[in-house]
Amino acid sequence: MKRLECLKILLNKIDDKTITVTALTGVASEWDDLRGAHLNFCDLDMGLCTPVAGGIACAQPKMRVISLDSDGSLLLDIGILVTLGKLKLKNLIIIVFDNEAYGRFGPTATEGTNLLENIGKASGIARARTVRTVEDFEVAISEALKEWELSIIVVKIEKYWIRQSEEHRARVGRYIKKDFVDSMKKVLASQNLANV
Amino acid sequence: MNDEVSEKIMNIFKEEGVDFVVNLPEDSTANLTDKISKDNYFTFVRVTNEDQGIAFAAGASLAGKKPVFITGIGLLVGAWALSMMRIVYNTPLVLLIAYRGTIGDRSASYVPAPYLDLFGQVAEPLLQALKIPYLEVGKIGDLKRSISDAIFTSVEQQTPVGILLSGEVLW
Repeated sequence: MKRLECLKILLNKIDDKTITVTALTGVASEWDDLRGAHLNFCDLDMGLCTPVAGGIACAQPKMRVISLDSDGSLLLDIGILVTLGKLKLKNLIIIVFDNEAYGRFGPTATEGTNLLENIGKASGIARARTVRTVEDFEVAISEALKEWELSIIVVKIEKYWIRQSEEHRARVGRYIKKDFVDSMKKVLASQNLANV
Repeated sequence: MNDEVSEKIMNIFKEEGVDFVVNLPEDSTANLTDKISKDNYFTFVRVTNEDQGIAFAAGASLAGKKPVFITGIGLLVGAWALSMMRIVYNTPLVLLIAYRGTIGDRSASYVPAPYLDLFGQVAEPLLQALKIPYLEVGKIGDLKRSISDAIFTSVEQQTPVGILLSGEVLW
């Protein structure tokens, strides 16, 4: 299963009020090219994706937030699952694209295991599962979006690497932040929520 | 930090619209964070490491809050997230930092003095290296203006800002 197949399914299932946050490199570029800048904070470096997503979800509990993390990134701050397991933010879904590798440089500790699902459950995230097919991912994300409950979906994907698109590379850093905050302001104002 | 100072800082937060506080407990500010955790005005999040805490607070900032992250020597653990939020993302955020190991720190009876000395030596060079604007507050009477200025500058200049607490504020 390729990550891009899952991202296309996800795109068709979320609305324009759903916030997405992504880890760096491949997932950032693929998702940025699919979804664009609206409510999309992407390309966070190692260990930062799910903590930032958690902060957004905690600050805006009426808005759905999806973290698109990777196995290496989540392992760098695996303690975030403990924090989130205590907080039980109902509006947060964590999707971990687990290729069981640190890029081209060797395996992660998730290789051949359901490690992240198990750590999620042990941390108090009851809705934790691992999927290995596109069909199972579609079922898992559909169920997670239907329920308002903290969820983690670990998606086992092929090892492959892409070069980030020029459009995405041009946006990296403070432009991503500005686009995100601008789109947050518009959505919050339209919903009469606390403004940025 | 005693009750009077803790309550003064909480009142300043409320006056400044700060209602989101993130923390991993450390002894000099434990009285303050304990009180904040019990006050329903605040969303209080206890994290499992300081790097995570700074990233979590940054997320809240991006979502419209004026977050404060309260820490001490653990600032060193937060350097990775802090460098990203300062240099790559220009994210407003206030850091309330117990300036452990600075002149007057009397807590060496329960924290080994070399640990305090470590932070005393590297805290300001670290903030300078990461291009984080900061100020030091050692007088209780200066708290209001200093916290207000830090919040203003973090938003105006879109940057994390550090407040190093010392002197009669802490000891």
